[in-house]
Amino acid sequence: MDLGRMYITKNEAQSFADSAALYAAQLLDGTPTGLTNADNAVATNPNKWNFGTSAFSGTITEYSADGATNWQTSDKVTAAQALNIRYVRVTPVVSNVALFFLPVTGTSTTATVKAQAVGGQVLLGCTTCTSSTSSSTPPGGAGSSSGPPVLFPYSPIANVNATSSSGLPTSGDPFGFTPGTQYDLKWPTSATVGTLGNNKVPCAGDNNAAMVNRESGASSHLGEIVLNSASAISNDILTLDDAVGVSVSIDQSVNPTTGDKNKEVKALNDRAAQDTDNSSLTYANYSGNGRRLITVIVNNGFADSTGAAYSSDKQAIGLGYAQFLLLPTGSYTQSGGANNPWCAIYVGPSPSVDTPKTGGGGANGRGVGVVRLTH
Amino acid sequence: MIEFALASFVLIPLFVGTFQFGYTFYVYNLLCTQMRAGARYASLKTFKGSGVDAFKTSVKNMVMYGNPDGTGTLIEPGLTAGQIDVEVKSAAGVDASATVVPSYVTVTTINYSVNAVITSFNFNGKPIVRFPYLGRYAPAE
Repeated sequence: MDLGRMYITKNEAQSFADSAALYAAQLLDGTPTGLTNADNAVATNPNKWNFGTSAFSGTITEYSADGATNWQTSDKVTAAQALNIRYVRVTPVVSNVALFFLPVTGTSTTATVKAQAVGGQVLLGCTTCTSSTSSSTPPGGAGSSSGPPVLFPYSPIANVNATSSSGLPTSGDPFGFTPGTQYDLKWPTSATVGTLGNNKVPCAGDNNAAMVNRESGASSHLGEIVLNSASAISNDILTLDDAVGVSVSIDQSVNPTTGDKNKEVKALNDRAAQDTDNSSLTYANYSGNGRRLITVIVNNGFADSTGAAYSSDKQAIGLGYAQFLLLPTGSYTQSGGANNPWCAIYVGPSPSVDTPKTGGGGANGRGVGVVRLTH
Repeated sequence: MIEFALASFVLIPLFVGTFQFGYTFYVYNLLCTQMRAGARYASLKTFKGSGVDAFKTSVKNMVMYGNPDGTGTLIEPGLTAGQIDVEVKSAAGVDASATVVPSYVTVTTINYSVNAVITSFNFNGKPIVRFPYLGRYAPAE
């Protein structure tokens, strides 16, 4: 009987831990405030024990950057460390399960029961993403346990002069981007600096001479990568999840493809509509289910900031992975044909790519793939 | 014989009581596991605006059979779909739909009775498991 109650308590604690870890992981945004919010989400989780009558108390909530080591409670995490926190471990402890029969054997009159769950913000596609540069056909990707992450079939251009990942700046944002600012997933044809919203004017973050120079020479390469047909790209946009997407390694060509495929507009808008937060314009405010969050590979463009073209084997080289937030549904239009840019909001460099130049944060947060239980 | 007869007045109720509670605990523990499995499944399943009923059916199947198709052996003895309540709500507590975005899912029982031979134990609203909704919201599908 007593053992039965302990098993039930353990089971109830596991439900609590799983739920609380997911709720908390959603709130990690790279700031100490995010940790506080996560602590509160655990404390207020509605799942209970003792046949659903007693709230959990004494729960231990810890945080880690990699989900495996250096677990710390929020009061021990510094602001600098908070930037990298993506995992939360919840350990509900019930120390007062009353025992009625076992004490006759000499045990205590109460028992302690624990459970544990780890929730985290994980990249789509691979579980231990690496930046293999050894093969033009990268390992990993969809459904793999290693290799490059599953990617959105677009590649923004970095705001730095570099022809390989080793040329990225070692301080500040590796791509020269500003979190919360919009950059081009797809560039307008013959882009020119001008008033936002006008034909041929790129997105806000790219609306300057240096970025337009970097895109010059792109010819009909406007942003799509790897896939060529509109239907394949549209399918990838709509279905990108843990198992579907393109894979490109860092320091390899991102394989830019040609054409302005306006059929993709519907797919972009439909994907945005699938998000439970279809209005936030910053990641700090975002609280959706991840459908608007996408992982892309950022490339170096076709020329440097002065417009001096890179040699052909140094053009459109993948420099690193990043997270972007798609705009709310309806934001992607085809009224101007190829003259329209398609923008997305920069969140930050991707968190779990195994290179020293990525894995950083961003003023508005970490950048996530999806929130999942990892343990 | 006399001693056994006298002792049986104590032992038989003790054994029967132990069985009743032990069996009920076993069923409740199983119920906790299945409710959690259903809630986890629901939290990740695509929510289609035109398929709310199908969504709930597949979650109930997950609770009863451990798979969304409802095939195989019933895991929980005597549990029917009508005794499982699946709710998908917005942050404001309104039922999710093609126009209301889901925020969390709750899975629980509705008057599920455990027949423990001598008596029955009724579970209504217990266990209840709530998970955040993390799946794909597809109102147009």
